[in-house]
Amino acid sequence: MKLSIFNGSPKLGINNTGILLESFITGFQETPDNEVEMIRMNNEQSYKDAAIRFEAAEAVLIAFPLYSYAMPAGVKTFLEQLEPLLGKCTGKKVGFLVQFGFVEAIHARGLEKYLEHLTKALDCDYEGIIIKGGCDGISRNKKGAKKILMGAYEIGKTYGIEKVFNKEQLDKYSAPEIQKKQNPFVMKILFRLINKLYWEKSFKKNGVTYESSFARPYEN
Amino acid sequence: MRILILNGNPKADYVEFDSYIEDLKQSLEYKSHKVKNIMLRNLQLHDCIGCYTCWLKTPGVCCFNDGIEDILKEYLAADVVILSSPIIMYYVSALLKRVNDRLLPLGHPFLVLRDHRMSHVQRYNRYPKTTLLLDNQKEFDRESFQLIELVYKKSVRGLAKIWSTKQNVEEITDEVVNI
Repeated sequence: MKLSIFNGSPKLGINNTGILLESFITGFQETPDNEVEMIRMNNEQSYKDAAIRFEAAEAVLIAFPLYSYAMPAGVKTFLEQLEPLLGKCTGKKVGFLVQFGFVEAIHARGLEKYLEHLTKALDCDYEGIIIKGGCDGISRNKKGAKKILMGAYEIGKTYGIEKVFNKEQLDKYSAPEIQKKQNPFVMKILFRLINKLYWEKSFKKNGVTYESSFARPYEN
Repeated sequence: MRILILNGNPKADYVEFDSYIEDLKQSLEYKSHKVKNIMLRNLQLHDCIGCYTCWLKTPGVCCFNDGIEDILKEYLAADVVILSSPIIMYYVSALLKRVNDRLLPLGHPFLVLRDHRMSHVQRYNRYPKTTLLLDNQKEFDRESFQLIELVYKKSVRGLAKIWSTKQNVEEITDEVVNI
């Protein structure tokens, strides 16, 4: 099986989407004869080129980070290039991978409905969507992200063998849907810790103090 | 009220959309609102590249000095922002989405629990109400409307109202004061 993977991270260098994909691909290629074509999209020309590659592909995985609860603008530019293909992609398999910093899967559920609708309008077969939160900073700390990366590997492996996503496996990977089960008080303390250990540390590295991080340069 | 219209129509030859926005502006001004209309396709805005400069290095200020600063200032000064776009591939234009992504400097990276899920702390005390104004060149596309509404409602500052250019500009003008 040949899988064409489109990485729509707008970042210029190393990116979390790419790190997740690496693990997915390693799993996918555990099955002999599975082949991967990588298409990187992060500038105007690449969106146009990607549309040509999309048209030629048999099976597609479109991967990107969640930006303001949807696809980044660049990925939308790519999707707009596909307009002439509406209703003409019969038999093409299309799946998605969406990753982001917030832990809960619910943030991507609106987008999921849109992507399914779009895929069907192209007359592609909708394969499903890998939704994974809690991915902020995994490119900087692969060791800490071991569980996340292992999950992507397992999903890739299953997909490589069965040629379809396993819905149960994807749901398990995406969990939690929301934080309903958690004690809000415990969560508050946890967030305070993340803010302190993760974000404040990043401020410090850049010479930004706690107070100046709250700057309001455009206040009326 | 101060109203900011961000026109996300990418196609200069789709003149009906632009003239609708112009009519709406006049209708709003007739009711004494202060209206600013920004034609996004005339600006050379970058896509957000997720560098976090606006959070970690120069808090509140984007790394690209490409005209986004004026949009952010107008945004914060407004009572209502009308994000307007033709529906393209069942969603708002990439041109309008670009501005959505570039609003990141208005937030702060700190996490808070909101409605049983993670959210970000807001940098400013006051934000305008966000609304959407959508058009489809063909027939009224109810499904796209619902999908777009679903996504925008999730955003941290919410969605106060969604309009269609099939409505009269007077109707929207009347509704603006009540959102």
